[in-house]
Amino acid sequence: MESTSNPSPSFDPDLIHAIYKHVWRKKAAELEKNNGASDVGAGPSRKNVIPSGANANALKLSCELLRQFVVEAVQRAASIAEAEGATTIAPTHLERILPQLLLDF
Amino acid sequence: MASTSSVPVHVIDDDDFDWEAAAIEIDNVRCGRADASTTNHSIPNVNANYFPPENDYGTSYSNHFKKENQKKFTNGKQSTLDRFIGKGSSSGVENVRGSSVSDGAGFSRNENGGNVVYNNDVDNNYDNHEGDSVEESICCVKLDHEAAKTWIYPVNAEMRDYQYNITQKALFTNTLVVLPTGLGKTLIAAVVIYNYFRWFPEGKIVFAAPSRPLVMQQIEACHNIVGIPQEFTIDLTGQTNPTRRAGLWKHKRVFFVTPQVLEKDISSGSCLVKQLVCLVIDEAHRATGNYSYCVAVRQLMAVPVQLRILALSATPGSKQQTIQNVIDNLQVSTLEYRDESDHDVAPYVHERTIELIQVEMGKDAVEINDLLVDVISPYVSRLGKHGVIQNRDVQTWSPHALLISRENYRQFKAENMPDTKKIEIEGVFGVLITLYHVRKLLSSHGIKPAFEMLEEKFHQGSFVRFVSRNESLIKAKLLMQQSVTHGAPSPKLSKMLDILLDHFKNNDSQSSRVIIFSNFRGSVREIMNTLAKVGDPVRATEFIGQSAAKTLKGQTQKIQQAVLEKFRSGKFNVIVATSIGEEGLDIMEVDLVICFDANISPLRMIQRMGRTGRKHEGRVDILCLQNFLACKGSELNGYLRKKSKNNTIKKHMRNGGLNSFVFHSSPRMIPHVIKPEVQLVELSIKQFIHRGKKVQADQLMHSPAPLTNLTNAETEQIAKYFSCMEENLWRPSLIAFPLFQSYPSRVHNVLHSSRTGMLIDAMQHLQESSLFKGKDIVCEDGSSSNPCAGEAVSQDDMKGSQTFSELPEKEAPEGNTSPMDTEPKLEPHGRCVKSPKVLFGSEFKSIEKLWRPQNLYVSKLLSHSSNNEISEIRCASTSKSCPDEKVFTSGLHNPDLHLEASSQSERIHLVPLSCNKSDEVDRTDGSPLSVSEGTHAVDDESNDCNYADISPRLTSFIKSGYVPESPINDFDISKSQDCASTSKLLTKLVNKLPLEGEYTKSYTCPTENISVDTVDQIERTVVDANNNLPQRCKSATSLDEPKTPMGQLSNFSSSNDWKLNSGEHFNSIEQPCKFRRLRKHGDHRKKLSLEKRGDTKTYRMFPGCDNQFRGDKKREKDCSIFIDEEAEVSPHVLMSEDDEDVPDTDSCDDSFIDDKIHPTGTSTQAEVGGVDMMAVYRRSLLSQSPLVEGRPSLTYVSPDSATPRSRSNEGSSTSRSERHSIQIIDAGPGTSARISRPLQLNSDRTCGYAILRSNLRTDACVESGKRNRSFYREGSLPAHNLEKEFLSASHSVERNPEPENQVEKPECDMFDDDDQFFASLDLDAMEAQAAQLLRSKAEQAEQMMQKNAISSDAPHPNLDIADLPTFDLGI
Repeated sequence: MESTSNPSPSFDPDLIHAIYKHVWRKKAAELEKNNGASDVGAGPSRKNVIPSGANANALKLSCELLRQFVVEAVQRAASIAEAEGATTIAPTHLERILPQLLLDF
Repeated sequence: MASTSSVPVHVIDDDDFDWEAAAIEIDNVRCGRADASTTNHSIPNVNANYFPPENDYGTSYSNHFKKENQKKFTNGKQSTLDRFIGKGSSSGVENVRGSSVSDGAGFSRNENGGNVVYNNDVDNNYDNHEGDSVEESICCVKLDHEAAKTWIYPVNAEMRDYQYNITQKALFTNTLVVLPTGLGKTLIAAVVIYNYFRWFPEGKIVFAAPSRPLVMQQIEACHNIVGIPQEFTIDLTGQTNPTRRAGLWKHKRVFFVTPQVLEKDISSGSCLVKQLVCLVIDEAHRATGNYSYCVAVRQLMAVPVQLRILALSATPGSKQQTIQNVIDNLQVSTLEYRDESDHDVAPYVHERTIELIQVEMGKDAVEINDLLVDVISPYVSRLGKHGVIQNRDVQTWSPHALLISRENYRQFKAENMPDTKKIEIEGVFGVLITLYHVRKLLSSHGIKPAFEMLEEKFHQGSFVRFVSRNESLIKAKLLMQQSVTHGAPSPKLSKMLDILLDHFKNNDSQSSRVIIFSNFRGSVREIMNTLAKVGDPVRATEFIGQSAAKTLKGQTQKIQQAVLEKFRSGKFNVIVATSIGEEGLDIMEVDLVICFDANISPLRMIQRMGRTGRKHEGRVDILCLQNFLACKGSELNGYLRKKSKNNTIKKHMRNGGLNSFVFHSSPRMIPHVIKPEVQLVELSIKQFIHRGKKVQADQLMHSPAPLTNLTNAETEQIAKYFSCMEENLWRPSLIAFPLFQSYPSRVHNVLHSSRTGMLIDAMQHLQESSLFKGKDIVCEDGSSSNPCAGEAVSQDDMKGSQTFSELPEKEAPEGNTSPMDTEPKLEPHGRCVKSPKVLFGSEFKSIEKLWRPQNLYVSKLLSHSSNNEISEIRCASTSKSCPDEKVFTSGLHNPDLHLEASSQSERIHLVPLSCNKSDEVDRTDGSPLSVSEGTHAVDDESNDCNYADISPRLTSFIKSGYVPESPINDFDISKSQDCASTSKLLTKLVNKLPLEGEYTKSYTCPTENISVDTVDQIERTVVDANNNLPQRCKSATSLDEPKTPMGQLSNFSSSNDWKLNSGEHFNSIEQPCKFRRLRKHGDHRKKLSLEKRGDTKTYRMFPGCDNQFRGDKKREKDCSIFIDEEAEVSPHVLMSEDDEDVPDTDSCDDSFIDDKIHPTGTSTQAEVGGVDMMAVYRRSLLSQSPLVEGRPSLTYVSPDSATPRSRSNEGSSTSRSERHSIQIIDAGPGTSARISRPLQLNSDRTCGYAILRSNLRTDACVESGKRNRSFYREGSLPAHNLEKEFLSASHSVERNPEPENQVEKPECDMFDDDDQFFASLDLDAMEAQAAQLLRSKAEQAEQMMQKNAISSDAPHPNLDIADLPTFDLGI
């Protein structure tokens, strides 16, 4: 439970950035597809909505958010596991805390 | 002028300034100014450009500011000194504005003697003398005084005294630094730059170097020396387009520029000259004529702007005059000269062997040379005959000498000559010059260049005309052609090859670098061709300028950069360079320089030599070979001659050149008061990142890095998940663990959001409906399931958190709607208990709440902390009102409740959630029966003191009359509610429980007992209810009422444990109510009005209590606020209500009675036909729930607000919604109950209720008359209980009738009536209770009064508000 108090390692911003870019690329591709399908619906200005880069601080922040998310997930799952007397977190534990966790973030 | 200009450096620190001289000087300058404006302007247009009025004003202001700044730190004398000395280029704003703006003669430049004096100075001085010193300016850029206390000298590298000394000088005066090559001029510049960078946080610093490669080299060098952050530095060359440069000028602070860029940007205005504080000029010897250096400086001086100029050169000039020109052009005040022989420099000079290798001309070359001489000699003799040139050896003539001779001839002798002769002589001169040039080429560069030139010349008509028939020349040409075609290498080339190969034999071809200088591109090409044949160890490239010649293309600067880069990195180890490579290239590894032609200026020779011998780390002395390949004869002679000339110049520069040169004044830039002290610092310098590389690095960082970080499998995985996201949204399963989703999971750092709360509510709702459905079906009917779902939200809220549950419980009992609340709650619970609960809303709620929290939260620990807090809060709130109530209620109910509660609580704790429920049911079942038996014993055990005290009083009250009983009942109900809350709180802390119990006692004795039990409020309440019922039954005279509850209990118990429990609870509550009412009825029906008042009060009190509790739990602040608000509102409301109530009661007695009667009847009916009743209740609840939801919002606005706050405080996001829902529900049921009542009037039993109520009311009325507000308050607490009871009763009644009648429609119609009824009933009950309290306990009353007053005030407003809104709605 106390593990998070330590300066815990966070995610690699590069990794996060790569993931972001991956998502953006997919989104952009999807958008284009949609635009191609229905040009009328999507305005021309929409095309540029998908960001193409993230500034370093934004990435840092994202990493921290993800870190918090993971920590919280683990801790909550751990509490469930603890209540069950289990020493390891099983997927089922995560499954249990997930809905609320997702809503909390 | 002379005095200032010549000895400015000395004057600066000289306190004994010659004031008279200064005054004279001023006069002189003033006189000269007039002249200056007329005589002097080398570039008037430019000046005009540089004196835009606005700018001048700007400077004047900024100067102003600066001046003021400075004055703080300077005494008058120093500032005066500054005026005279410190501002050679300071601004004469007045001057510019007044006299010279129009003609651009803002400054006068006295070029005679190389002195530049700005009349600005004079003006300033003049002004100062007049007492207006404002115009003086030091610098328009802000000075960081803190930073200016020190100047920093880096000691990262070895500290050299001469560098340190020169730097010190250069910081405060314009300095020309003349240092031999490779001795660290750049370091001096970098340190000066760095300190100005520090001193002037907004100042701009310019470092100008004559070529782009040098610029790039210097920016890196400076960075590596002092580490100015790269975000502040930028290199500006012609490559950067002007608009971009303009932006960069604004944002950057240190600029490394080419002089051309500097000039252009100053004249275009994109360079912010006002902010310039320092200008470093590298290779300052170029600052002659109209070179960009000079133009730029001139422009800056014209602005005028004060800045530090630092000029760097190894070779300021070969003549005294040229050096003086440089000094003039760059406004230099000091000359710092060192050469290799100076003691402080010598240790750092690397041995540099200069070897003069004399190469014999090749055989062919000699032959050709002879032929050429043969060709030349007749022409020379012809000129000699004409007396145009001196007669001397043909061999000694050079093209240059001939050119000079021709000039002389044209100037002095041409006029006397006839035209034909003129033409002949000119022709001969031309031929001779050409031939000598060819011969020079032949001697210094070989046959091939000579032949090429000759060939070229033969295509020109004039030359051919003279020499076409010259056999010797033709022969020579043929010979040259032969040797060229045979490819015979020139002796120089072969010698050079020997040297090169020899060098690379002795030195590592990887680490060693060689530069070969040649004056002509033609020979460069030839050398390249030669070297290309050599192959392996020699990897040569050419390094030439970018101008494109006819035969050879130049190298673009990009290529030049690339060449240097590759040379540095070792890809090439030989560079064949023209003069472009002579200056500034700082390539450490160069250990051999070959000058292919020696007959060049000493300046260039020094520079060429400077390219080597630079490496001073590690292996300090590398043998350096300086090979001068000179042919015998003219070339050698020329070299020797120029070398000696160079030595004479050195003499001029000794001693700072004070004797030979005239210097200029320069600003100190830093106020004299500030004497920066040196600070030797080891700077941490980040690695220099090339601008070009930076971009690449970024790209590398961003694109490839992630790819490398992710394996294919990983990317696939990501793709998988993200594609999932896109196509079919993944959703967390809520079905998998529904139980977990219906309770807030434990959080670590991140608290639950409001959405989570909603989810939990919804899940609870759903689960309850399903769970309850099953239970309900088992128990009675499935009808309740629907209502349960509707009400589930409220239940969910209750369940969600113990604290929440507590709050809702309180709320329910508190408000008139409390019964309503209880009903919905019961419904949502869905358990068998629900139906019974409906009857006794408050109890059920409390029970449910307790159950749920307990059940839901397997771990009781979670809630302990919160409960404790809550309990404390409750205790505080309850304590106020408690005493009175305690007396009444404690007697009968407390013991039973305590006993039961304790037992139940224990059980509950032990048993799992589900088990707890069953256990509780069982217990409750058993408890009612046993409660009556063991109540007393329990009392003794749990709350001996309190109970004992209370019980006797109660008994006495009971004895005295019905009144006590009714209060007791009321108390019981309230107690049950309170107990529920308290018990929750108390459960964890037993110790606290007694206290709470006491407090609760004050409100409701039973509650106290329950609280004492603390284990489970529900159980307690059940017990209490049971106890109350039996007790009441026993005590109560009316047989029917007691019987009915009993019957209900039995029925419930039989049906299901849960049902039994609930039934018992409800029954108990109902029974007491009924009893009371009946009793009251019998005693005083007329007092209904009073009761109404009391009820209203109690209602108010309850809400207040709720608010308080909530607030306390969540946040004390909120609570206090609410309480205050409520308190304020409450009195008024009470008053108004009382007034209204009285008439209502009077007028509505009958109707009320009827209503009441009906509910009672219904309740009794319910009791009788337990199963049927349950179904009916559920149905009614279902029907009611929707209505309730709509209404509550209006009625319970204030409570809602309070609740949300409190919930939020608790930390669970759901709190707000839950509370709202609860309140709403409460209101709804209340309304429904009201509606149902009229309908129920028909029932027989209702009459009994009505009677009871009337009785209570009558009692209350009597009491009310006596009571003051304070009394009301006191009474209000009991009233709450009563209200609850009434409400519960009404609920039960309602439920019963509702199924029969369509609840919704009646409700809508009946709202008004119901509300009124409710209000009246509540008031009456409250009053009755209050009256009872007063009667029974006068002593406690006082204490309670105070407490109650606080608590009551708070709750009242809510009640009032709630009531009023309902009325409005109804209307």
